[in-house]
Amino acid sequence: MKISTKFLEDSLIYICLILILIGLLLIGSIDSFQFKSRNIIMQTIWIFVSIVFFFIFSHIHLQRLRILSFPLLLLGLIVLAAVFVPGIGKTVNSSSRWINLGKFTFQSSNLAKVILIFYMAHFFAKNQDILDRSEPRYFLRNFFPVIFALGLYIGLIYFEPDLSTAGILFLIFLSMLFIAKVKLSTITLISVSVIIMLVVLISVGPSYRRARYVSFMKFLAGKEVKVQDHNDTFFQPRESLIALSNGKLTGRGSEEGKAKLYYLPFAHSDYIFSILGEEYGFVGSIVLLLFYLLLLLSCFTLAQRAHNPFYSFLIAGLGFGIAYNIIVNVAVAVSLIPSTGVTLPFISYGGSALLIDSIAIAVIINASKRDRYERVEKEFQYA
Amino acid sequence: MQENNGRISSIKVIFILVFCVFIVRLFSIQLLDVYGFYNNYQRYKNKKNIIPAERGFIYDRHGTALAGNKKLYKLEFCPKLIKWEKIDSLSTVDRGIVYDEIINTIAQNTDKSREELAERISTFEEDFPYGFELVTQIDAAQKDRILRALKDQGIHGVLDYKQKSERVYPKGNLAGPLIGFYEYDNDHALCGIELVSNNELTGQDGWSEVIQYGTGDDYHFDDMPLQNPISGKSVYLTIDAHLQAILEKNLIHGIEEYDAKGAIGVIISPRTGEIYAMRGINRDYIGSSVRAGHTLPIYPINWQYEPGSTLKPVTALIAIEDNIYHANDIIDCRTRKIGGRTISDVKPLQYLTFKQVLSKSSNCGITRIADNIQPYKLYKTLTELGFGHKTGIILNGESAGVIRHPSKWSKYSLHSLAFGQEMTVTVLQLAYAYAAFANGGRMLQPKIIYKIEDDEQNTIFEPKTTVVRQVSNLWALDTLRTYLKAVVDEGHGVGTKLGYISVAGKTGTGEKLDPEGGYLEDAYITSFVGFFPVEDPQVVMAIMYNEPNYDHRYGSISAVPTFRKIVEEMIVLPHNDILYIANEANREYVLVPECIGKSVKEACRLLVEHNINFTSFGDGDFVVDQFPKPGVTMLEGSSIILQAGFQILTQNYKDANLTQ
Repeated sequence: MKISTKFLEDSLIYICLILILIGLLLIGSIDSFQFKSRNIIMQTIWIFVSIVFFFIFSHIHLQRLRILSFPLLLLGLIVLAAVFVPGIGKTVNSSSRWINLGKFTFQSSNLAKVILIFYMAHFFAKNQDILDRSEPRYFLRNFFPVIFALGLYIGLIYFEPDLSTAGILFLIFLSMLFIAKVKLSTITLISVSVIIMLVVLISVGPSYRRARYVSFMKFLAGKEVKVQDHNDTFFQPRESLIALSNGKLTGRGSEEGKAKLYYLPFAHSDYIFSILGEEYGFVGSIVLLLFYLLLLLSCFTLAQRAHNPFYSFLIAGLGFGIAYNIIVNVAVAVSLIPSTGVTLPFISYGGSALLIDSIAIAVIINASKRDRYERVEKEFQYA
Repeated sequence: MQENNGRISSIKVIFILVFCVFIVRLFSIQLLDVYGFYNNYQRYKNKKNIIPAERGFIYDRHGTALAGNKKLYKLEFCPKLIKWEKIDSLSTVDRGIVYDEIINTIAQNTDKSREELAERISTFEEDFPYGFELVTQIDAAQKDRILRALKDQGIHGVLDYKQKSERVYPKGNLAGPLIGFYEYDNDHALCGIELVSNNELTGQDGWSEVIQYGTGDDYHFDDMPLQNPISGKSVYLTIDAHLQAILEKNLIHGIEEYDAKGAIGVIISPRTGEIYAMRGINRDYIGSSVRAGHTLPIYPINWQYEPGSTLKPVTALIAIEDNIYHANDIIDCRTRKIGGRTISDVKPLQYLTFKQVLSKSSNCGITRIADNIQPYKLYKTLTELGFGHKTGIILNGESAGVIRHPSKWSKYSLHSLAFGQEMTVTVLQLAYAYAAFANGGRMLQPKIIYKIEDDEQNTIFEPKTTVVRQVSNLWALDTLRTYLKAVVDEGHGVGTKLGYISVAGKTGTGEKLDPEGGYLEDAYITSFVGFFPVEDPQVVMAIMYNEPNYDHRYGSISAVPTFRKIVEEMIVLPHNDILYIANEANREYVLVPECIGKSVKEACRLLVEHNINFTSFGDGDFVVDQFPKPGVTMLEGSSIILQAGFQILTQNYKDANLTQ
């Protein structure tokens, strides 16, 4: 039995709506227990903004937009650089990741990510010929524009500093190379060199990051888990694990959830998965993961079914963007990787992330639809 | 792009595998609890926060607070919450201005200096943006002044918290040792009423279930269980704060004037056994701190001494009771020698009547009387009057005094006991013995608690007047009372004689016992115990000085003047009917004079002479009739009615009855 493409496109919208509602529920309950209402109000506003942009981007003509891929790339650079400009950029917890828009803030790396994916899809689709000659020795020369853009983007994001987003951007790049049928030897070589670079970066990077890795390694070795000290570097992961452990099978319910009572910092954003795990238990976590898996599988099936390489690359790239956010966030919550600040798509509090993710879904559906129509048109012409 | 299928499919498989890893991981964390975090944290159990109950107050009999509570507050400074209504967002400069205003306001209202506050802010500002203590232990008034001043200026960011409660004694050291002392910090009652009534004064703490937040704060929500605290009960003492103040003032005055080491005064009611005022003052502790003053021993119940002559009435009472002597029997009061012991008086005396033996306080005379009474009866009467055992007052640290059983007496003991040696008493015992003299022989249980009220002001306990036993008989005591009145009227107690009130009592001058045996040289204990008004005694008062200087070594020139001053001051107190009762008792009966036929002017002069008021009606210069009629007895001060008319009509109306 083959599921129709149209059904997959529709299911993407429904899954996103369900996820957004789940997020709203969690943020609302966190807010009420923290005696404030700011987050839930802001999130609701951003949802409406996102819906508007969703409609715009689901009707935009993507092939015409391709002409703008290079100017967009420049726009992405400007946006990324803007966070360093005093007055425009906003610094939170000594990271300047946000652009100040009056009462709202906008995380520039989110936008840059989508722009870069668009550019990569455009580039790979345009230069189909070079994809066949992608051995390591040709690679740098043939893929220079993409590598250059990626380098600039990752560099700027790294200096925000936001290592995790930089890493995700790089993973997206690798994954797109993979589905673009670049030689596996090339991909392996790049991966190995980047892993070495990463180790160097961590060892020379800021001390807080190094400390996090050290304590995480200790944790993996089975030590230091039960220490209760608010200054220790393993504080957040431990709190997350405590919350999850106490969820058990069906969870404690939103009334009895304790992690959101300021035990778990960033309960409404980075660690919202732990809140869900505590309040709705193993069942709740699994249901959420299944929704995400459905979302991703639908997404990549659409990418598979798209005939036009540009659409296929675009859908897959945006899919990767969402997938890696989910994977990194959940992995942090269950302490499979060290603590880092990545939001959970559609659920975490964070307007710009929600907006960009919605736009990504809109573009995915838009691309899939256009591909179908173009195919039908083509068949019609041949006929 | 069908050729991509293979790689995208493998990506899908990879993602499915990753999600499987997540599911396994979640299974191990959430269901297997591999780290042992489940139910291991206090935060998952709601905490009960104790709401401390307020300790009960201690009042005097008229409701004047003697012990209460003060709430202390602390102010926290929250740099993050600082706001100034005049400016929306504060720049660094504005921030400085606001900080200065806050510092100034607080410095004006507390004892903290500006520099101290500024230093505190600069030290903690960075590390504690959500609040740190700025000033602690300020009272409600200071807190309100500061917060109001800041509010008027539109400055936000200084928050107040209740810190703790503190026990306060609004009257300072007044009745200090009696009230005792309570430490709020340790929840520890040290002594006095605070200790003996601790159960009543202590309230029942309440609790509220709270959710513990990660910030360290506790929050109670409306739907969570809550038990309100029940405040401690209020204890009303029988003490009269005014009287207590008068007593203490005069004792201190006396100590200074007579250069005494200490003084003790007790004022009680012979009718109910209530203690109106009671204080022992040690010269070394005058003007000490509240804590020191409140933790001293209660000397009136604790300090024992040889009472001396104040005990002579007991011997006299037995003589009266057994009809051995009568008021005018002559007694040989010359210096006498018994065995190796010479008994003499300060001023050598010759022969005195029985009544004079008491008023002149003759040692020789009283020993002659003692010779004729049964020794055991003296012991029995002394014991019945409460000597040698505790009065049963609820306070801690009471002394029983010492009195030996007749089987252990030496040949001198009878005479010694007759004038108050070879035994020790407390001032309170003495006062209650005299109360029995005053009230017809009823030995009363000392009463210090007037009533106990719960937090809704319902009286839940009101001790009854308890008569412990009956001593002697009414007739003998009435006689004794007239003798004691004579002491004041013509004897050593003459210093307390007041025109408007009749006082009875007995002076006492005792040599002070040497702890190493015998008596100290030139160390005296002087005392006066008396009651008034004699006709219907309302008050018994005992005054004692410990080692007044040589010039004031007699009770009649140290204790007696103090007694008199206290009486003079206390009878004008509010809530006091002593003077009224005394006047009622002293009023005499007069015969109504003949006014009929006299001119109104003449009748008026006549009635004023007889101390009779009158009202008149009718025109004319002559009294034509009166009611009551002449020759009737009536209380002086009451009034009669006169009818005025003309002389001619006098005869006609002479027998008319005005009452018709």
